[in-house]
Amino acid sequence: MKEKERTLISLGLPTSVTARLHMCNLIKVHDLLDFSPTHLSEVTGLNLMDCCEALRLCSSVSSENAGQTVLDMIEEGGSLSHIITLCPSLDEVLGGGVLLGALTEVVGTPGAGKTQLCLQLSVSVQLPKWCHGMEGEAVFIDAEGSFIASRLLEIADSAVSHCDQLRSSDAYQNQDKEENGSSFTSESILKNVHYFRCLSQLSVASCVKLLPEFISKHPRVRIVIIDSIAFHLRHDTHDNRIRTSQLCSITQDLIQLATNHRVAVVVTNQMTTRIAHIDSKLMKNSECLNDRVSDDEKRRRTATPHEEEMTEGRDLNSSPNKENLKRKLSGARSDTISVSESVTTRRETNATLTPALGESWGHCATIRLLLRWQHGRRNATLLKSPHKATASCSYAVTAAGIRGLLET
Amino acid sequence: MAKRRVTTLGLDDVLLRQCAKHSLVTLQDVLRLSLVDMMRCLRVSAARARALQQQLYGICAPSSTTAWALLQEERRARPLSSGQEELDVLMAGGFHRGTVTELAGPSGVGKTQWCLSLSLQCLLGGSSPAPVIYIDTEAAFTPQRVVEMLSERLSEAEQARLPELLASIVVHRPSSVEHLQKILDGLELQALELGAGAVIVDSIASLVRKQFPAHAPGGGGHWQKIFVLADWAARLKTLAANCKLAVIVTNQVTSRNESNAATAEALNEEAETDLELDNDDAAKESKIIPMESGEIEEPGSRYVTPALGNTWTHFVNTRLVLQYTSRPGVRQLVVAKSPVAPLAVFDYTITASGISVSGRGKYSNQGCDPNTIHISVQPGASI
Repeated sequence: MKEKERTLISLGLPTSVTARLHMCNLIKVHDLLDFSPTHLSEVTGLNLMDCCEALRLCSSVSSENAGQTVLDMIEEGGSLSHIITLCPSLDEVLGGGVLLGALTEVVGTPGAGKTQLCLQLSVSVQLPKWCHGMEGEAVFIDAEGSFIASRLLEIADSAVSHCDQLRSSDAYQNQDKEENGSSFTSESILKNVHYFRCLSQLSVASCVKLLPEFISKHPRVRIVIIDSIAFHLRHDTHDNRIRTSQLCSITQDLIQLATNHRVAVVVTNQMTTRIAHIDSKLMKNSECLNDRVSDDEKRRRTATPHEEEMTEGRDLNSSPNKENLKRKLSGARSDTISVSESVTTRRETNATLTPALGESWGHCATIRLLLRWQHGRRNATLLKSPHKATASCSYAVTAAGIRGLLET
Repeated sequence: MAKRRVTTLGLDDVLLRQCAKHSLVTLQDVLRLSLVDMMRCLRVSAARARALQQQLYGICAPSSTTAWALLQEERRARPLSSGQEELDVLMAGGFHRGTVTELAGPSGVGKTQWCLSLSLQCLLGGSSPAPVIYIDTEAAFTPQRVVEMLSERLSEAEQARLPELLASIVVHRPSSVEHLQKILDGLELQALELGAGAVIVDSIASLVRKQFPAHAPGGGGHWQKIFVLADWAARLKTLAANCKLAVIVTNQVTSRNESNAATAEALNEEAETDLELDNDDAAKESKIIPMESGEIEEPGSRYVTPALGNTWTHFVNTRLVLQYTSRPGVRQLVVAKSPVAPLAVFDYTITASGISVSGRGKYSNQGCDPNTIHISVQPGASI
């Protein structure tokens, strides 16, 4: 309020400029607030740079809205922008680990290791700096109830002994051993995992809303994990519109959280079965448009929301033409697993497993990692990433946590 | 929490009047409003609305704790022991409080026997004996068998406790999905009153499979089934978390068409290479798991796997699969999905006192897909 009452003379602008402004009856700061630079220039006849200077000095347009240059971003990021998983091949696939400041979605079939990856991340975020860690803390929002503290202890113990081994090896002889060793223990690891058990969607949403406050009290938090975002959404409401709006709002909060506090946000998601179900009308359209419609468009057609969560599809007449299209339609998506890899329906249909929560949610996560079973092994595939090409690797869940597989 | 009425929140009268005017009855109703709608409906400033939102979120959000505190609590209130030492060691104590464990297996393999045995384990079990709530949907619960198992386990001197112990198992027998839902509504109250240590549902599959057959006319059955199951899973998990008890459900099996999914055999071949990673765990005895499949699986053949599908597999925290072996009388328990344990196999037999795990278990970090695990069923009689 006081600022706005300030006279323009007191801002330290060149006298020629203040004189001209005065001539136009622009005397106090608030007189200028509604002007754009070009408008001010027209009114006063000052040149544009002078107008900009005047407006910058008195306007409420503070410098925090000025954006950021790429150079700033890189300098701010420093060398530590990823949380490593302790599985080298998985880190490679993710481009160095789980990215800070971004929303990563881990989607997987049951028992593929989603929760185990979350537990691993909440430990490895705390690795000491000399060990490529960031000495952070973790927030674990548990919607599934699969969080067992003794399992976390097991993973933490392994991480500690892993570090001890590294420290005693030659490469790290120069490190200040005493200082580094004292703070990284299983007890400290478990104490730095902040746990919330959420029993309803509202409680997950509320928890997320209050996280900024929590993180400002615990500024060392570097990762926020939600395991899983799908569970409560899948039973809480059967109304798709409400579900979508709930998802949008929670996503917005999570992305803000990630960027404002520079934390990695990891959410897990379940898989659902989809039958590419094509009614005769669409069939006909597709057939005549066959030449013109791009594959992309066809894919979008099959992805209407009412197909989600359907396991039993309609029986399709198996004329060769339709069969062909059917295969195209269901085979085109990158994030669907064909039946040959994971059978979920009793009948031999073109059922595919696809991430739950629908198409619009697919846009929300910056990075999307798919965990599944392939040829009797756990396999991780990067489905979506702004900076890495699609890649996949095998990994194992051991007593120690997530680890790589020896290639044979 | 979501259904809490706004009138109970201690808001001032002016706000409450505005809430009533716009028929905002519950907390959830208010929180579903956008900030602008909230300002309009309640006639408050943006700052006031934001403060109110934060206040309401504060009511709904769970309080934070650390993993360390949870670990202390786990050590204080031990998980429900399975009664089998080896299995307990592998599963970090047994059946964890606050989680839902599923026992899936073909008919006659001993699902109900496991349930009864676990009930007694809870009743008698170690440091904290507690009553059990048993929901029997298949009319498979036989009091005589419970008496037999109990008498076997109790010493001569303890036989007098029999009536008291029998009074600590509460059995519900729902006959329809709606009936079971009604029971679940009142279950938290009953569990807290009794101080129950375990809730057992034997089986979770039978009612939904009967009431919503997969190929029902209209095709809506499948949707309903998923909603009902999701609802039950959420309620059981809430119950488990609030009352600090273990929930155990049983599931049936279904047969599926085989495509070239990894079979148990393929899994065995690869298990060896994986185990080399376990150098630091050399102390534990680890071997390749001989998964005994009923028949040789060929591409295109049918196989048996837990019922209720992929979505339900997500909902259970732990999946234990029970299956037949080629040895007479010997069955296998496979730890197929668990947040604490690797893929493991234990042989067990059914005895007069309940279940007896014989021999050492074998485990592998190879894991298996719990959704498509192949279950070996009872071999047919030869003609």
